[in-house]
Amino acid sequence: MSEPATIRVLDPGVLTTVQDLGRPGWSAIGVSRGGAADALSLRVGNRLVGNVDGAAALEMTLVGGTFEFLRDASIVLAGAMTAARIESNSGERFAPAWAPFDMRMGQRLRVGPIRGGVRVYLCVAGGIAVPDVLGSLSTHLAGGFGGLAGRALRAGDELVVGRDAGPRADAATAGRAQRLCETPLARRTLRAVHGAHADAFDADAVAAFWSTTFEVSMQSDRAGLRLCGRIGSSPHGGRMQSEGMMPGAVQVPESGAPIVLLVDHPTTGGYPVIACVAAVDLPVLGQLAPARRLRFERVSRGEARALHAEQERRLNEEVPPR
Amino acid sequence: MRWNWASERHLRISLPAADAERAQARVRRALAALERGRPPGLVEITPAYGTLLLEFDLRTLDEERALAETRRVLSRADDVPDAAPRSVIEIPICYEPPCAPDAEDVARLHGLDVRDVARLHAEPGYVVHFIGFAPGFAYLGGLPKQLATPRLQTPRVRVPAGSVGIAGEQTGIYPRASPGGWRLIGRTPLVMFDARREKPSLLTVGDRVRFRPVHLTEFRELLAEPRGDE
Repeated sequence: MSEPATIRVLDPGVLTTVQDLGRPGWSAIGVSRGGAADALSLRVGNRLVGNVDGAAALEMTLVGGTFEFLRDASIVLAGAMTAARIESNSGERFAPAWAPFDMRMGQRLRVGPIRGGVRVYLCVAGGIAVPDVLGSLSTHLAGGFGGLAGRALRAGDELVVGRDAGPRADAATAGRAQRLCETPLARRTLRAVHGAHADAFDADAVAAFWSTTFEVSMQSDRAGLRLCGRIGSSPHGGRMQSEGMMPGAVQVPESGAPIVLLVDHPTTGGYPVIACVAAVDLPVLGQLAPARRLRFERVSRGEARALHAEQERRLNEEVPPR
Repeated sequence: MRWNWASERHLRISLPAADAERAQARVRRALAALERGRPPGLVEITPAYGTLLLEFDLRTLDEERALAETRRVLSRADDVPDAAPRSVIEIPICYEPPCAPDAEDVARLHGLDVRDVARLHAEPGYVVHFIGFAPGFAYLGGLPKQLATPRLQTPRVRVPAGSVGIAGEQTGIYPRASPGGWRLIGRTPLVMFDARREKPSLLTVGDRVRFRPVHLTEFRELLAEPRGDE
């Protein structure tokens, strides 16, 4: 019954998980959306190998893993930069980025350190096949479910690949895909809208928030990014009754140092929210490395929706869906 | 109802009421009404204390229409009687050491005997205000005022799965081992959340709950079901 595996994990890297576009609709039982932290790179990578946008891939963080291919496969590396190598008995060569290529049975892919961002997606034609849990294949680390046994990959894990893939993209499309994603990866200013509790902050704190250059702290993960840099006081001493949260919410606890929620955020939280990163820049959030400096630029809700629509239009034009 | 846009895709609904119990009854009715008559494009509902956060699909969102549809659905929510009283879910709790590491501190802070903490906690019926924070984490209403206790100053690095905690006037159960700052006064052997179950979260909004004190031996027998994280 069980399909033969295509990928064996020799070294998982720092944190490698199976991710798709997440599981909407379960927030009322405490399950956040999750899915790829940089959904734009995942979608583009999937399109390049002929997958549907929501096919599951491997999300690598900071330092990628080493994978042995037990069967031939068509793959692509999407997201931040790496100097990945393909190793075989006859030698080794660099693997391309943003361009689909073939891995042959017996070859190894060594991804290594990730630069210019923190996440690289290994998309395989056919997608990674793991059981569907609550409508998604993505790993929910805090809940311990989804993906491969609800956890990050370990050495020795073997992954089955699905069969549903169309033709892969040509070189011209791959070039356009790379240019499309380079701009968001290089962004240092995140577009954001007025937050749910922004009106409760004093005017100085609000002004400071929109003008401060923050730095991403080391204490950042798929749940959220802690920022270094303070904006003064938070209303109600930084405490309120818990309410619903979303990816991109910029919470300000008592310390005045903001926390930006990411895809695996707790579904509810008790810190006032001064701003929310616009959907168009959520993929940027998922690529911010520790010590990276950033600012927030205020946009209206209408501008935020127009920016998102424009990003979708360009994506579909440059890298058409299957 | 009061409302404000929490982002270009999120509508925040606030349902004020004279007290917390009435506010949560309004939240429950609003949640039920929204699930029954979903406004077009609504993809996520997050109920909490006196509020609901609604996420709309950006590709189709029209603010005016989303707001009008939401108001229309919610305008009828308060007329509907609160959801039919549900059966009471009984949760076995061991209030004995080593399941209750903070029970003595809670007792001392309130001038109670440690057995009174267990007795007072197990006495009332509780209602699930909402599930939040983590998968299956139930925020329960009904904690006796005598037991209201502030959080630990320094949160624990690891709270065992099933731990029953108190934070202010709230009480709740940690579904999985995780860091946490609530004062731990007991532990249930039940698996509160399992994504593979037909009903993943043992508790959902509006459920009524009773705690049944059990001795350590029974707790250990009931704990036989593996949880995968211990």
